[in-house]
Amino acid sequence: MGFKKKNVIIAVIIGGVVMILPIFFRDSRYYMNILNFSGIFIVLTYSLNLIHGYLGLISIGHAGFFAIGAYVTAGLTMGTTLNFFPSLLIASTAAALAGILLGFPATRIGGHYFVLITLGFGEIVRLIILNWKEVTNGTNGLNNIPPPSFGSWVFASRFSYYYLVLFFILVTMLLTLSLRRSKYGRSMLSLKTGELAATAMGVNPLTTKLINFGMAGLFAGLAGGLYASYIGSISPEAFSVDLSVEVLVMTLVGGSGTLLGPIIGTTFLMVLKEWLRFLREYYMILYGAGIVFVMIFMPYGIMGLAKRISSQLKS
Amino acid sequence: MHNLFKNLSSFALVLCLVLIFAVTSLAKIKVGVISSQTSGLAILGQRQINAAILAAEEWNEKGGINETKIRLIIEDSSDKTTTAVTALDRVLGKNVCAILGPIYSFQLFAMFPEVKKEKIPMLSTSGTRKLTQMDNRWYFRTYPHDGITKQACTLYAVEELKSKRPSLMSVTTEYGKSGYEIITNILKAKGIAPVAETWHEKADKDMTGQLMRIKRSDPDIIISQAHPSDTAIVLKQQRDLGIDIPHMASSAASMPSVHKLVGEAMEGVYVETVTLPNFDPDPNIRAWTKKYIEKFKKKPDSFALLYYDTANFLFEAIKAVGPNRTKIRDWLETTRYKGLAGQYRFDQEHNGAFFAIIVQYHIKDGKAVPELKKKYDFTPK
Repeated sequence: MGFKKKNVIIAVIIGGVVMILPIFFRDSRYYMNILNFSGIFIVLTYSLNLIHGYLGLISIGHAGFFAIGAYVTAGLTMGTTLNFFPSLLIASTAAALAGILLGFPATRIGGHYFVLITLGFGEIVRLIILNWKEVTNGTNGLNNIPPPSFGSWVFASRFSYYYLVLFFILVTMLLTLSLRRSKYGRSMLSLKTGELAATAMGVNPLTTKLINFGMAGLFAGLAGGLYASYIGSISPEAFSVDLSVEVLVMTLVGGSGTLLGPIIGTTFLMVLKEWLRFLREYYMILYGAGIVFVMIFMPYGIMGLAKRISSQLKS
Repeated sequence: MHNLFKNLSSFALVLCLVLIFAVTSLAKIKVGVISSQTSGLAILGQRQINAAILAAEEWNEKGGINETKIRLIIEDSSDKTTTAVTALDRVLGKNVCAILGPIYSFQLFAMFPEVKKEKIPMLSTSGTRKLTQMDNRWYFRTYPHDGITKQACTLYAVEELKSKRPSLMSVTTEYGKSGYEIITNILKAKGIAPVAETWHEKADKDMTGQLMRIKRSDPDIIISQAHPSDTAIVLKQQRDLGIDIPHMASSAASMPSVHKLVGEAMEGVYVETVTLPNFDPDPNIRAWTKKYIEKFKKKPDSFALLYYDTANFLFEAIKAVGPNRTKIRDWLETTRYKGLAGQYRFDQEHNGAFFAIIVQYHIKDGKAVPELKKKYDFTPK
């Protein structure tokens, strides 16, 4: 059950690189911004990676969890004396509870019907934040959200925020890894391959799915809270179905169900989008074509391709 | 020896190119332009960018600002907050002295913390009231907010159409609610109470109930606040139900897509809007519209015309005080500017445009053509 020595070395090297990386970009607000946005979306992609990669279900309502995390964090840090970290914890718990609620229909409904339920969930959350003006400030949204602070230390610069996001990526990764290695992680994968067989073998689909959705909600809420405090202003437009689809694409491109897939998929697409900016109105065509290309020739994402190449090299 | 000469000449050529590049890039006044070039929001955004390009080209043709050419750093804000913030980063990375910002408030709100931190003047043609109530001294609005256009339509109904028994139809969105408050307050100040007030949802497909209630109250005008699709339904059903009284519609009724839906029922409808560059009789606006169409093969809208004015206002500021961010802000705060669409003068909140127009539509050869009825200018003295 221990870690392979080779994997530990690789992890240490990657860890060192991501720790040092921002030092080279410290003076570039643009690159620091891309790194931070990528980091926040990596946490969000880990959330969907749980649902799709471990249960084989598709959700296009993830913007809903993300919005709950963002609005609760913003509301608590602005409207109460609570610090960022307890606010983020409460916000993530709220999103986790929403995840558990969404998990109930997942025990009975699957396939396209479940996709429609998640779509409905995302839209309901968006409509609530749009119309519950007294709390969410409607279309104007919540502005002047304070940056996170820890004692007298304020994460005001993009450079410092990078390390905060990095910390949460690490937390998310470790939780995913622990889940993967736990009884529940194996139960989830067995449900993905054959629910009837897994149930016959003693796997409880209700508990397993609720844990999965709860954790997915928690991760997405975490990402939402980080997003709100980073950008300092949130409004309903940011939480549309487009965001959910974008996160789904990031998950698939990276390699669903893998540990590094969310990091690779998110970073690749965030950088690609910026890199294609010069094409202006034509960039969406190329961006879309690129995704189609990846899906056709790399059905298991970039991680799947890497595994295939590695096994071919070995043989 | 031959090789040495060849190497030296290559080196000299490269050096010359680097120097030319350095000189040309240094000797330019850089102004950022952030607007939507992609996504569904590009319909408005690209027109604004075109207007800024037109203004900059005109200045550059005359030698630029104080003999220095203008270079626009254009970035796409798409329809996302994250893209808008990244666009701001890219523009700021090019060391611009001021920014012409996007129209959409959700993107502007997200940019404000960095705009304040970087202390850079940002001007945009957004109408959202809240934008100038955020204590941001670096943001300037150059489009009339809702309070201005609603004031114009109410005053026209009362003073020009002599309405004593107005009726109000409002949509339940924030736009409709704030418009309703402004109109009822003005009517109250004039000693007039609406004889009927109705509300509808943005997505409602039938307004018969609301219109019949209005008909029963025997009003002398309908003043409506609605979005494009519900505006079309209200106008069409008013005609179908035979309610033969004037209708003062909100700015959505100036959209060609609404005219297609309403058809013949657009005849006689009054509409409050800011400017209509394609129909304005002013010879300067006509000349500008012609130039815009010739260059970009597209018709400009009111936002484009005001963006053009905004760009020129900003260039005047740079001409007066140089590309210094703080000086530009201070100059804008204290200076009055006469643009094509109207006068601009920033108040304490940094609202800079206080004009609106009332037009009446007539059907000519099957098309709705506006006739300018009155121009309002509420610019503070």
